[in-house]
Amino acid sequence: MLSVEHVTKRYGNFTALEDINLAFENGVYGLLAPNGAGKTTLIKMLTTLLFPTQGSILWNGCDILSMGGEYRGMVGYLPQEFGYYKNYSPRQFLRYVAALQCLNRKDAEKRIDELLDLVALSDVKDNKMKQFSGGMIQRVGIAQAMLNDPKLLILDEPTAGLDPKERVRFRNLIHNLSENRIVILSTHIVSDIETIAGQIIMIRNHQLYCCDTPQSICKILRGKLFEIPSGALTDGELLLSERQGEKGPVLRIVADTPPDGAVAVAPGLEDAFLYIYRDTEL
Amino acid sequence: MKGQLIHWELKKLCAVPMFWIFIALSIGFNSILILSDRYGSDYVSYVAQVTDEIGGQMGEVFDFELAQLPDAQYKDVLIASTYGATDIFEDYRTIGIADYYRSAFMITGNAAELLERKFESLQSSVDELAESGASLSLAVGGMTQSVYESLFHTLCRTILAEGMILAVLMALYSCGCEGLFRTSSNVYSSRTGRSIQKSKLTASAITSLIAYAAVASTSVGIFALVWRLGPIWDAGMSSQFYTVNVSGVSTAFLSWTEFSVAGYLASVLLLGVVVVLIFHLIGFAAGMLTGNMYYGFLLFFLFLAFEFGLLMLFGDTGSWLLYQLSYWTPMPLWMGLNLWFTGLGISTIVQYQECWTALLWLVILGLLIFALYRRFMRKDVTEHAA
Repeated sequence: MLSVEHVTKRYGNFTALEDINLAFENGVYGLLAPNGAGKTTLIKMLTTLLFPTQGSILWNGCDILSMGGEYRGMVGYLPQEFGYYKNYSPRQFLRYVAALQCLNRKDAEKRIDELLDLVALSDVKDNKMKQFSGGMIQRVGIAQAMLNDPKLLILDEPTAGLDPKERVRFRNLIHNLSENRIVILSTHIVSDIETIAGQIIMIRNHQLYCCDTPQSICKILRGKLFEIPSGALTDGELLLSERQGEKGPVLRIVADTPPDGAVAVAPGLEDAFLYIYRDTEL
Repeated sequence: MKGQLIHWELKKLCAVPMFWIFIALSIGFNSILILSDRYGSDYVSYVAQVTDEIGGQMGEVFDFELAQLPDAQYKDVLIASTYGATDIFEDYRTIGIADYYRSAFMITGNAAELLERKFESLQSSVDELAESGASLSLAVGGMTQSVYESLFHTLCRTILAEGMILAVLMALYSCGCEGLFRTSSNVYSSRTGRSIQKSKLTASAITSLIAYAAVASTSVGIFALVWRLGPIWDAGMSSQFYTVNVSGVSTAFLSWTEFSVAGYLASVLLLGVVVVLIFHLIGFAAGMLTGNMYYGFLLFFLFLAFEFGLLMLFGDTGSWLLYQLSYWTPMPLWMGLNLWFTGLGISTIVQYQECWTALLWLVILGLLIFALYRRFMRKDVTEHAA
């Protein structure tokens, strides 16, 4: 449905993204990369906020830039820094977004009530947003992204500011929404997408590193991931992370051969992420 | 749908406290201007009463009828200033003004030719003023100069300046508020997208004009209440009691057509609407060009400074043709407000130049905004810009 074909984005001499090729079908896609890797640049090109320097983005074979409003009307977008008018209530803000999305007023009213209920803001729907917490604002952002019942839902760092309960609620919501639409969820928080994303897109050195299932990505560490008690590492051992075990600190390392006392562990997406971006400052 | 978006943009603009504060401050300031200069209001009331009773056209009949009126505090003063008044426009030769300017300012070549041509064409208007006896209008008698200057030189100029400033601020705010609230990404990725700029342009123009209308109507209303001109509103602008000093020449108000006070006020305020629109468009263009409210204001300020600089440079160096050309720009339009619809001064070269300048700039800015809009439609949106 949505395809990114040889897309490059340059700012003067700086190349933010180079020759990106992707194809999206209905389902959840996790866009996972460290900060500054180009996630937001890719997302902004998908939302037509940025124009590719080279290449094109197609929706059902049509260039999204030529489609203009018709394409944007199918997109729901929660930006990384969700801005709002402080003196507006959530209901007012959603009405404004409905006008921007050219939604029918009557239908929009019904949808606004449903969404405010969904994001648990019904009780404060007429309160000014300047009194809201970061989590509440983020929920307004999620509601506005879903207002037009988008075929392409793009969420840039959607769980920022949400408490653990809200995070879980949000993940469930996204999972339910993904049946008949494309959901692209950009994050550097692995747990946000590990369980709900069917495909993980990784960008490294401004190029597409992979677009695969979490299981396939984790294969990279199969048989190489171990946990050892805290101590000095030898050559050929790469420290990924550290955790507090029952008998003291435990190191999670990557090695071709298991060190003495090492316990082999099953790799998770976070391990793969840390391994892939081991040279990148996180 | 577009109407709905304009409505939302209007709501955004009206929610800015500074908008209402600026209007209130403008009305307050204008009220102080009016109320602090009420010297001679008794005399004005008397002239209004006389005009009501015997008409406001000086001449033998007026002299006779004025003498028959009952004695009053200002009767003798009025008789002294009106008795035996003659039509100053009879045998008036406008080319004399052109000759004076040419020799006093050493204007030669094309500039002198253009000036001469303008004053030649002004002659027919002066002949018409002479025919209608425009200079014999009593107006406000000996207080005409003071009242007309208060109304046009001071009040109208201030009202227009306030309207212009607010129009620029409204345009810049409308253009840049998404950057301020970090809502650019949401707004420009919606179905409406970047074309929201059209609604922003319309909404900020509407608020600018509403603010100008509110300030102008309230201020003129206060002026009318304070001065109680009554029938004097129908008096002529080209009364011999009113003189204008332009570049060293003190002359009667030589308008291209005859104006009453009310008619001239309406015309000035109406052209003021266009000037406010022009400044609104300049502000909007600056906002679109820079993509930022503050840089936009800086750009606008630089534009004004550049205009002033050019005027000063051309005037001081005696480059009169360039000086005349530089008067076809927005800032001198406001500066020359007290001469609108007249053929006076060395800066204007054609009949109703202020109207043509306004029209020209509406077209120029319209085209500029169209070009900037097209550029904006293909421009990357960054959160802190726009």
